[in-house]
This record gives sequence, C-alpha cells and structure tokens, in this order.
Amino acid sequence: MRPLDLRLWTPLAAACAAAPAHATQYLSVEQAQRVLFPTADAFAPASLAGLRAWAASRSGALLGHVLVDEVVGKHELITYAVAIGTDGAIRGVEILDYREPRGGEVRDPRWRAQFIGKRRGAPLSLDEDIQNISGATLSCRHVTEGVRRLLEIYTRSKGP
Amino acid sequence: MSFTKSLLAIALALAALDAGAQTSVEQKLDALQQEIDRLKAEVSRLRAEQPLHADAAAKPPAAAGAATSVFGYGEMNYNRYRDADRTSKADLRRFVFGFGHNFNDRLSFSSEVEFEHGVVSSTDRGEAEIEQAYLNYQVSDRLNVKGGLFLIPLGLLNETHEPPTYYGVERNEVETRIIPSTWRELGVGVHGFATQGLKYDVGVTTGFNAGKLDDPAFGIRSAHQEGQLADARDLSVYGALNYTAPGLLLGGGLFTGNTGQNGQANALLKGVAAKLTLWDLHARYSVRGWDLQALYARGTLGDADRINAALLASSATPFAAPRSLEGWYGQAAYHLWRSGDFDFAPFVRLEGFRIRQQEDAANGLLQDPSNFERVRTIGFNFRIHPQVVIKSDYQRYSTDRSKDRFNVGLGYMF
Repeated sequence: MRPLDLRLWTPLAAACAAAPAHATQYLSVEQAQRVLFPTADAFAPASLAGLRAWAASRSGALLGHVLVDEVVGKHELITYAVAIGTDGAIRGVEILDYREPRGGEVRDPRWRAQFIGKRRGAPLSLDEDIQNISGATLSCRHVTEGVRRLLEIYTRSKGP
Repeated sequence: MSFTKSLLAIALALAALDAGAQTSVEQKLDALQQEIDRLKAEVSRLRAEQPLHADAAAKPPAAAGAATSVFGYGEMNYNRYRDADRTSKADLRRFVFGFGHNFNDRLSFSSEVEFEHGVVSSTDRGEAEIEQAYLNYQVSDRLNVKGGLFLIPLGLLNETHEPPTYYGVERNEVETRIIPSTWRELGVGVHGFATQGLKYDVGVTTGFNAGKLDDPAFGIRSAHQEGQLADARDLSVYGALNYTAPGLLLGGGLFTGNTGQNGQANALLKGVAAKLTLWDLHARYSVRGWDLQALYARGTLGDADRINAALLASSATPFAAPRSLEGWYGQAAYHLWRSGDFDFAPFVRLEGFRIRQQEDAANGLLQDPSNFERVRTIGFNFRIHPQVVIKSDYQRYSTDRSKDRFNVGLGYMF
C-alpha cells in the first residue's frame, strides 16, 4: 500500500488559515446597524426602556431604531438585532452572534424575512405566522419570542 | 487722604473682583454645562452598551469559551395490547442525559448517556449506553470536522429523536426496523452548509457486522455495533444532503460498506463481503397548522446465502438472513388547539415495511410473513410546554393483528 499522500491535507489547512478569527460573530453592532438602515448617516445611542438601542437618522430625520438583545438558543446566547421603523413596523432582524453547534439555520435570510412588516399585535408565534426551520426549532422559537418581546417594549415606550 | 485712597483702591479692587467673579461664574457655568452634556452622552452610551439583563451582564461572554452545558430527555410509555396473550407493559423507556462543552469558539464536545428500561444489572433487562460522544471543530459555516461516536444522518428521526420532536408514543416502525434508530457509529465526518439552506454531511465510519445478526424482524439492526469493540476490518461511508427553508425540509442519505468483517465475529464469513447499502429520502412540510411528513427507505445486504450458511453452521436457532429492506410512511398532524404553551395536535400515520429474507427451504430457513407489515397509527401529541409532551395513540397492524395496541406516553427534553 502506498503511504498516505499528505497533500490531501492541504485544502483543510488552507480552509483553517482562511477562517475568520471569531467563529461565532457574524456581524458587529455597527455592521448590523448599517445592514438594517442602509440609508442612515447617523446612529445615536437612544434611551429606550433600558434596551440597547440606537436611533437611526438621515440628515437629522429619524428613520427608526435598532435594538440589540440576547436570547438563549438551546444552551448558548444568540445575539440579535431588530430594526423598527418610525411607523412601528419591523424593518429587519439580523443575527449578530450564534454560538450553538446546531440550529444555525436561524441565520437564513428567508427565515428572518418573515418578521419584516410585523407590528405590535401580530401573533409573532412559531408555527403560526412564523414558519419553523426543521433542525433549528429551539433557536427559531426563542428568537421569535425575543423579537415579540422587543416589539412590545418598544411600542409601549413609544406610545401607541 | 490715604484713607480715601485706600477706600477707592478697595472699591476698585472690589469692582474688579466683582467683574472677575462674574466672568468666572459664567465660565464655570459654561464649563459645567459642557461637562453635563459630556456626561449625558457618556451615560447614554454606557446604557446602550449595557446588556439588558443583570444575569446576562454577570455571565462571561460566551466567546470566551469554557462553557459546559448539561441537558437531557426521556420518556415513559405504557403499551396495552388488544390481544391479552401479549404482555402489556409500562416502561421507563429512556432516561438520557448529556454534557456539552465548548473548549473555545470552534471546538466543542457533545455527548449523550442513555439508560433504558429503568434498571441495569446482570439480571435485569435495562441497558446503559453511550449514544453520542464526539468532538466537532468548526472551521467555518461551510466546513466542520467531527470525530468520535456520532449519529448517522439518515432519515428524520435518527438525529432528532427527543420525544417532543416526533408524533406517536413509539418511534415509527420504518425508522426502527429499516433505519436502525438511534443509530451511531465511530468515525470521522465533515459537514456544513454548502449554500444557503443546503446542509451536507459525509464521512467514514465503522459499519455493521453480519456475524452478529440475530433478529431478522429488525432487518440489519442486530448487526449494528454501537462503538462497542466494533469489528472494524470493513469500514463504511455515508453521505447526506438536507435542504431547509422556512416550513420545509427535503433530504436524503446513503450509507454503504461491507459487513463480513473478515470473519472476526463468525469465521465462516472470512472473505465474504456481505455489502450493505441503505438509503432514504424524506420530506417535511408545515403549513397553516399542518405538519406533513413522508419518508422512503431501502436497503440491500449482499451475500445473504453465505450469511445463511454461516448461521446454519454456528447458530442454535438459524434463520433466513435479510437480503433487502424497504419501508415508507406518510404522516399528517394538525395543530387543532393552541393556547400559550399548550399545543394539542392529533395525527395519523400510515406505514409499511418489507424485510425480504434469503430463503433456504431445504434447510428450513423461511421468510417470516410478519416481516411484511402495514401499520396504521392514530392519536395525538399534547404539548404542555414546547419541551414536554403527553402522547396517546392506537396502532393497528395488518399482517399480525396480535400487535394491535393502545399506547400512552410522557416525554420531555431540556
């Protein structure tokens, strides 16, 4: 038998070398802000019921807010951001950090797109108005609950 | 004179002082105002950076690693047969706990320890087993490398087998007799997302051992080795592709390898390949309160005649070896009532399986007709929490009616 050709390891070594420094962080808060409000030119820290919040504006005109929070997936924290427009409707949801070995499907943009346009009063409930992703049920459920909670706190603090 | 001068000087000095004091106070106020503005900005910046929950703030960032988690699942079942001659039983079917550990962002360990049937001892029926114990290194989303004892990605149930995640008190027959869930092997694999929603998993593992076959009613299940001093002269390979989108899962898997193991378990199988190939296709779709699920699985075992010969020579109770396996099911569930954490969902499942055996009539090795079966199951899953379920169903068997039974179960996962 021929000895194992060690060149077989080259692609793996190359992949390791090319990997990003943090395996779990997909977006920083600043990157998420820009993705959620691409036209904004300023993000000012906002005081909003104790939430981590920023007001997004363009030439001084308010566009909406970015809220950042964490929920537990199965065992690890998922950091996510929700953008809410001045009309009270969700503009987008981004996953900033995902640390579980399984269930990463919540990062699927098609899954997150289901939240766009939702307002306070929408069920925001898994398997009802938010379709589950098989294999990522707990992560999907907990992010959905987190988004519902943020939307509720946000609309209450802003008035109806 | 000097007094007047002095007064004047004092008055001038006071006036100057007064003027100086006025500017100074204004300057001070300005400075204070600036300081207040600066502090305000600082406070709101800090407030924005601060995590929402005090406990989250107390928790070290997960990225720092060194996080160990404990989890578990289990089920208790009652099976009451319509035929009084069959033994009806209540059983602590599974009690499982596991540990996970993140060494760092990339390297993690997962394990599951399972106890079956309540009591384990040399005179009891229970079993203690390691269901999974593997290390995973995440290079990127696209590439993970795993090594150890892990679950083979065939079917829907094998990898996701916690009781609240499937319908029916008992696991379906197809993913018990055709795909031998909970099926794990020792080996190495690579997995990840090839593109958005498309997950691949391929690897090389230990395989089956034809020399250990002892129950044809469960196909090749009795020949699986579960990482217990596995005969590993013959290795197997597997591959699986699964596509997910919100509400949808489509996928399939293939596992193949020789099972003769150079006669390590039965010398008569030395030089016999006894190649096993097992594959499946599956789909799950959830829409408007419905959960629909279907699966087809098929397998072949080569050299069944040689396995028969080995069984005839070595076994006190020889049987016709399985040569092909086939099974399918379709299942529909509807979320009839939901309130808070409560979720009541009735379901029906139709399934069929065929385990064809290599007959050798001259030596009395015959096909067992009960290995061609159809099963109808009707019942409900009532989740009182997303992770806790009460189940009940009735199962009707077409070939062997004595298997008809009523089941009740309680399951959990955390």
